[in-house]
Amino acid sequence: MDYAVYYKSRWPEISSSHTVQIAKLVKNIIELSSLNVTLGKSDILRDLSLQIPAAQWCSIVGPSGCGKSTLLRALAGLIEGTAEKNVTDFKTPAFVFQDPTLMPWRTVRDNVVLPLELKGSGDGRRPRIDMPSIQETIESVGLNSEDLFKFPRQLSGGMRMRVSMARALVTKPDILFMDEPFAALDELLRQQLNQLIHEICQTQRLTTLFVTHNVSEAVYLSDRILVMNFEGTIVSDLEISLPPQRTPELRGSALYISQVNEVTLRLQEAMQ
Amino acid sequence: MSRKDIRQFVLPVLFLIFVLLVWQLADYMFEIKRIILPSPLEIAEESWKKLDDLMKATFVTGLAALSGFAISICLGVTLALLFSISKLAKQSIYPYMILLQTVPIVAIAPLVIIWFGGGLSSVVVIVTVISIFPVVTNVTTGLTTVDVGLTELMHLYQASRSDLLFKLKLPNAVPYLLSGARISSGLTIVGAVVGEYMAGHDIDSRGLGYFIFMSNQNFQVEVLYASILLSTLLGILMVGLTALVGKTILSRWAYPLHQG
Repeated sequence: MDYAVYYKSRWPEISSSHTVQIAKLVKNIIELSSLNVTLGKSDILRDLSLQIPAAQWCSIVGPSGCGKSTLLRALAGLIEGTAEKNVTDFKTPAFVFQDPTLMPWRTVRDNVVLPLELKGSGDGRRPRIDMPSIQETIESVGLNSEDLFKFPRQLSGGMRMRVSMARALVTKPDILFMDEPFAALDELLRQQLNQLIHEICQTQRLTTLFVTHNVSEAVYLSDRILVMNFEGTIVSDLEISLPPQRTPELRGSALYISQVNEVTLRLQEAMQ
Repeated sequence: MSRKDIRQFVLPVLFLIFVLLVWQLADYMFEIKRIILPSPLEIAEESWKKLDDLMKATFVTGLAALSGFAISICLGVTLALLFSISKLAKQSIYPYMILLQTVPIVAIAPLVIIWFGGGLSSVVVIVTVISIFPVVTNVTTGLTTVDVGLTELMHLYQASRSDLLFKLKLPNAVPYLLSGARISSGLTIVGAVVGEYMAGHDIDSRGLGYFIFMSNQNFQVEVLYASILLSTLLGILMVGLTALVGKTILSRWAYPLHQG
């Protein structure tokens, strides 16, 4: 991948000579070759190679059961696999699951704070919990301060998902893994939350790996789309050339539609 | 209270009054022998005379049940923790935990009396034996069936073993413990009465089980009826209180009571 071109397209305000220099400095946050993952007796991922540069939004699409979620978990280190080369350059990963996955016995605030408690407990010190920064995170995902002491059951599905996002962002992660995060929400709310998380990742220059089965969603959000097939490997690696700021008007543009069609075509090929 | 609540409360009470009236009337009309079926008034009269003894017996039975219940919960949770930590222990011991539940308590009681003597301690042991299994099985389930996503989340942030236990598994098991305790609470009175029937004959620890035994031997039918009524009320009180405590704690939790 030509990073100079990539960063030029992403941040046009930076001069060309600078982007070339930046590109030289940029490291891959994930470098993986020949990853194999076997769960039980079945091979889920076969001979999969992948490089993810920093600050890229990369979506993974593919038919159901192709191993998208497994790949995401293997990259996050939640599933063990064997690989020829597996170099990861992130320190604080964060994960947003398909369900909000909140602890029902904890308030919104305590759910959001959980990762900080766990990080603090490793060396025996009392967790350092910086309330203003937590407040900021909670507000950034569209929650109010009166929601802080509510329990998950008192919140709607969309609100719970916002809490889940806040919990992921509270550690100031350097990579964000998302596994079909808004699949259970209605279309309008999903678009809204996609827009929100995209803006957050864009401003924080956060590397994002996003699993979805929704092609138009993937194209709208991504810098790059990986298409997987039933064999558990990547069959297409597509760069999305849309302006870095994604606005709803984009959905009507010819460029957007042609890329949706392109990805759909590759996905259909993968399913054969 | 809404109209529906009043109906739910008033109708059973009306029915009870109706049954008592028919009972009293039948006794009056057919002159049923006292030994077969004393009339409600006779029962009330005789109970009133022995009120002090009966109240003391109810207190003794309640105390034995509560003590056994407390031991059941502490010991049950400890065992469940052991099973959740050690797969070996769970695989080798847990099946017996389930099998032992089917052994009738009346069959175990004489053994307990041989080991612990005829007194309050035997009664408490019998209560513990009968009421521990729902706690063990429910809490073990609660500790081991944790949401997969939450487990992954804990691993992602490299949670320590103690964090996994105190921040995820134990809180997750609380609703299970409460539903196990609810089942146990009803069994404690059964255990206490059976225990006292067989072992609770010490002069200072005579509970309702003893009264049921003795009144039966001495043809004091009224006392027998009163004891049955009191042990039933005690059972309702235990279950009710446990459910109330459970409901209060669970109002923090999202789940409704789990069925164990």
